[in-house]
Amino acid sequence: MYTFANGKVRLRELRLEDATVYARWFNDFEITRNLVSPRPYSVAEEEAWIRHEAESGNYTFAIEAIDGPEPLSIGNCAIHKPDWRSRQAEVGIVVGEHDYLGRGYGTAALQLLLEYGFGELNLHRIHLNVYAFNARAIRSYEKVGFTLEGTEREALFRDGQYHDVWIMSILLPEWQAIVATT
Amino acid sequence: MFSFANDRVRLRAINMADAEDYVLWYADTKISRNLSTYGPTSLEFQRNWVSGLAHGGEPIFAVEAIDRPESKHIGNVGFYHVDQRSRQAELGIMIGDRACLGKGYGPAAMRLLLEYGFGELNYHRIYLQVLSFNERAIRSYEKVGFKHEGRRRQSFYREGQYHDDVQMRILRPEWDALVSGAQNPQAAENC
Repeated sequence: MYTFANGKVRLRELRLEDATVYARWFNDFEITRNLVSPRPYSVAEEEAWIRHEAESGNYTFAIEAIDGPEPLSIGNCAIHKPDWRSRQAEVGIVVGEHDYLGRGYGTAALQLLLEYGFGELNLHRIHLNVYAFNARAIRSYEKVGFTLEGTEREALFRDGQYHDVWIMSILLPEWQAIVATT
Repeated sequence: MFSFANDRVRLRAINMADAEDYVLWYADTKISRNLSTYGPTSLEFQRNWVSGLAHGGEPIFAVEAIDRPESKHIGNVGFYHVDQRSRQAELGIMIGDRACLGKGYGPAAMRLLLEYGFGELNYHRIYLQVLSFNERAIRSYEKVGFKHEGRRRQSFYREGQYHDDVQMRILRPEWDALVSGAQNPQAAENC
């Protein structure tokens, strides 16, 4: 049975009060330079985003680290509104708490998200975009089973220059093969 | 390429003008006793249904007979209760033009819709419900490839008594097997 949790993290519903923490993350440029829109966000804007997600058709969850004394909200992730006919969807993830970066929490959350997308939403293909300079994220996506399928050359202007954007994806049979061997 | 037409019928979008035909068809109790809405309906009622289609997003089409000098609007067919996650939907069909009943137009329209449902909308299971006394419809569903999977006993009250309601379905592999075998052509008969 799918439980939205493994030993490391749990996916839970977004709550309006998360906005305060999100506003802190989204004022940290080290976090936001890897995201689509790197600018400071207010608590009110984060609240509006949480309300928007409720109506968007996206499957959006907060990520909580559960291997400490208390569960701690460390990020969020989403399967964006699927293309049901072709059974594909884009995923997005952010770990906003510095101390939890590079320690496998994002990877664990993404594994839960894929298990939900393939096992419950019946998707056939899950894809994502990542900036080519975001080496830590790319390592995590590869670990989960995503493969590079294309490069959008110089598709992002950031820090005064153009960067490539990678398109990565994982298909259902690839995911099943990974699950069967673990 | 899927073209929404075969040699007998064509599926097209439902227009507001079609509501006038629906009023006539539902008033014909020989037709509407087989449907969930039984008996006369107003033009306003039918127009409301048509305008709802524009917002519902369900794939529901008008059926036109095209194996005749002038094409003729004879019914409608579509998918209801689309369940995207489990990739299933309920098929509903009505041939409302009494003169066109029993001539194979219904199966021709259903085959088109199944082709669309499995080949384009990527459904895995298509099911329907039919009142047990509607034997002509049941025969036609069987002809198209639907299989019986259950019978809800005394689940529908009509004309002073309870009737059973027959559940039928066709799964994607069953449809694929039918398509890869020879499709038997229908004898054309005009109405």
